[in-house]
Amino acid sequence: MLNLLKHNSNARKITKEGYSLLLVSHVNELRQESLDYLDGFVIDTDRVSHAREILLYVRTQDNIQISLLPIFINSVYKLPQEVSIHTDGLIELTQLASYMQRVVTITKRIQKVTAPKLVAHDVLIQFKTLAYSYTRNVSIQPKPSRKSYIGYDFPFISLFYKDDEVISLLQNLKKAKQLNYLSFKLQDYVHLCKGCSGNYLNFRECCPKCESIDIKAHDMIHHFVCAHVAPEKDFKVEDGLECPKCDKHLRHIGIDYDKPSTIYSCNTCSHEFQNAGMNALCLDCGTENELDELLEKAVGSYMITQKGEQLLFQSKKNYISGNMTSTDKGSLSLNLFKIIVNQEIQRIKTTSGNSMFVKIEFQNDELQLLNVDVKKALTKEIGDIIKSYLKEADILSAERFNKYYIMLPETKENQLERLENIQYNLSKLLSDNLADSKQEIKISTHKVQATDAIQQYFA
Amino acid sequence: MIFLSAHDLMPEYVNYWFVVGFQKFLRVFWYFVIFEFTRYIIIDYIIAGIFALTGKSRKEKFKRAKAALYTENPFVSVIIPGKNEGKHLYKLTRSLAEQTFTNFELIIVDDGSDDETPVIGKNLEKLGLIDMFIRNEMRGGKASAANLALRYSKGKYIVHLDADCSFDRDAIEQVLLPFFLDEKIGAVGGNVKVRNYKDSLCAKLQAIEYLKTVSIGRIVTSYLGIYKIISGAFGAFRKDVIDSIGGWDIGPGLDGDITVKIRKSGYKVYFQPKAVCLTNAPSKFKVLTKQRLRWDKSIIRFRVRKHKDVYFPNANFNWLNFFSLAENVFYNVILDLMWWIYIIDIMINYSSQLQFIIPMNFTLYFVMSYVQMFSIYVFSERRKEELYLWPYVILMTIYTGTYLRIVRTIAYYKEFFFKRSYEDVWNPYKSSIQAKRAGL
Repeated sequence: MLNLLKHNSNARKITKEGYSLLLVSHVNELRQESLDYLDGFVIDTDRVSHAREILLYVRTQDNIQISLLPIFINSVYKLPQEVSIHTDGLIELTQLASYMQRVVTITKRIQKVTAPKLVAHDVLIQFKTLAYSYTRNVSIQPKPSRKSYIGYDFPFISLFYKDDEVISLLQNLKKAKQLNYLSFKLQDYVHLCKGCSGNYLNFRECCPKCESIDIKAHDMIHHFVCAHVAPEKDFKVEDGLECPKCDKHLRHIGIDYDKPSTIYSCNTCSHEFQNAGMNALCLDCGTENELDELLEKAVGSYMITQKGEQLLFQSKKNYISGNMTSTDKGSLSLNLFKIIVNQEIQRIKTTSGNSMFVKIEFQNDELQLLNVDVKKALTKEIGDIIKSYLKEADILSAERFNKYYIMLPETKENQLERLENIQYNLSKLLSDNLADSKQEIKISTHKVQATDAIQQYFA
Repeated sequence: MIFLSAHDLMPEYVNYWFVVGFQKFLRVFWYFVIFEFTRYIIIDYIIAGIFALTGKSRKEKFKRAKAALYTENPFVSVIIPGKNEGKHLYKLTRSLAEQTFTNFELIIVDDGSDDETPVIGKNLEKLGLIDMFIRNEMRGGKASAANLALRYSKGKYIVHLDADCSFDRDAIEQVLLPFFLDEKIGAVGGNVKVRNYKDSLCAKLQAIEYLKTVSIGRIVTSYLGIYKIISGAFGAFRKDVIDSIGGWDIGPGLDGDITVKIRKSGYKVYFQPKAVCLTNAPSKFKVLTKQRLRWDKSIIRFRVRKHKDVYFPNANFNWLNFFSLAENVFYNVILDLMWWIYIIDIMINYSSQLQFIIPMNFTLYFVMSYVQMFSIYVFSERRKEELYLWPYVILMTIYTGTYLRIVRTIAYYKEFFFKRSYEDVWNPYKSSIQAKRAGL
């Protein structure tokens, strides 16, 4: 059942199977609308500027649940590729049912995405791009475009960057690739102006000495009988070719003479050369680029990875928290932890206090077989469990994913009940996640003595 | 007590000649006494003596020439034509970068190489180690490649080099100095020595031969004004002179040919022993034989045929040119024929005394070789290194007196009767056939 409701004079809403799409012909219609309850948009105009404004308005919404919503183009309008690549394609309003499955899939996937908070602008764009790839289950595949500074437009992400910011766009994608959030498949290399990063370049042969483009190629002639070799102009006489060395008439190429090569002469500086230089004039900013000065950038399609998807689901934690071993409250890198332990030994020497050193080890071969990403995730989860039972003054550090150290200052041997809780919960974590139930978590404690040597703690 | 006289100490084949007398000695060894001993010992030592006596004044002249060279500091074009020489180019540029004379451009012509030479050449040009690298896609032969380099040379003097050579630090300076001694000097030959003389026996024998014929031989001919071949490996030319004669003509043997052309155009050619260049000689006799067949054929082709006009009275007749070529043809072609006549003479008239003649002949040549080597020792700037070659001088009689003579005879025969030099793959067929038709 198709319901076309007039909301006001400009905006129209289509509801189908409980999902609402808004027909929009101008961005002002969106400004008057509450977008929170919509499931998508249909661009209902053939004006490129209007369509582009609509796309920008939606995609740049801070609320990620809105900015990722599907946007279609009414199939009665033909919009150029520069607009259409940022949409979810054409939609025929008379056959809406066939498009709804796509709307359903996208919106369901959007709901799974947890929006990050307090992140930098470029990180947010990166996140949205990952989410776009995930919600559409497509790769971000660049399309050739004469209007793009680099000759290629990227779906979705290009909307966030001005024409002259395209290098930042590529860098952002590259960063996501380096973090293994996106996989990359090379499609092309583009060569860009060193001045403005544009690729509207005119390649010209030029004089290698003065770089003038006023150069002319001359055929060389080799006169067989006397071995004279010179440019063709030296041989030219009124009625043909004549050798300036032996005065013989050159009649037949291959018999009397041949043309073994060509040579250029520069009309500006008179330099003669065989290998012309090449430079590229940027028609946008007028910069002359040597070929090796051009910026070479790889362009290709980007697809979200499993790690990227994990990021989308745990974005809040990932973006707000960081690496347990270095930035978490109460957690230290191993080197720093060793310094603290050493300090504690020194302190015990003078104060005769009670402090405990704890070592937690996971002795299970199956853990060794986990891949790096899972090990990292496991380290984080174990760290979270341990920390949840520690007191404010306790300090945690991890050597590897299966070895943890805790310094418990001013703790006596009869005050270690928190270690029992830790052991119980860690055992549960492993038994829930690993098939092999024979987990062995070894927790050893040691009272810090004034006579201790730091090495014995980490043996 | 037994007293031994000098005769008692000598072998029987030597004593025999004391017994039969000098007249018979002269009759039997006429070839050695008249031609070899006179030319290579008497004349060489006389010239060497004069050369040594005039050393002080020559030193003064060269000192003034050096001052003039650096005052004028002329721009020089160093040209290197060749095929498949890419592997030598970097070393060559390094060798040239060490030169004391630095005001030169380096032009390399790649004559249709089918190896990596074009890539190497273009890279070196890009790096600024070569001023101009010209590539001919189609091979045209060494002369055409040299002429192409000449066409784009901007220097007042042209220094022609082979790519596989290396040079003493002052080699270019030294080869330019003679131009400032006498304005009639149109070309100067450098002193080519063998670099790889330790490689094989073949290379060692050539090293001795080069010292004898190239170093000392050319000092003598240059002094006499009949120096007739500027080696293609290292020679310098006045640009105006070489332009006026149209550059190089088709080879093989184009280096000797251009020297004659310069002489015929009225200029002197000079040998500069202090301009030292080292080259690799063939280390196998098979390769050497091919090389020598090519060189020897060119004597007939150029000295006997192409430039035969120097032997006849005409408007351009010049005695020095006449002697220059006549000496060359006489000592190579005529004497080669006479050697066979000599062999027949001995076989017919003295076949019963061969046991005295053959060892004596070897002894004479052996002694002559060491006497010559001594004169080389006196003149050479590398005398200590060259002492290494002295034990091998004993083999020179067989090398020059037999091996090279046989090769030479074959070459003369092939060229004189069949003009085989035009079929030599050293030069492309398309050019050789045209040169043959034109009688060049």
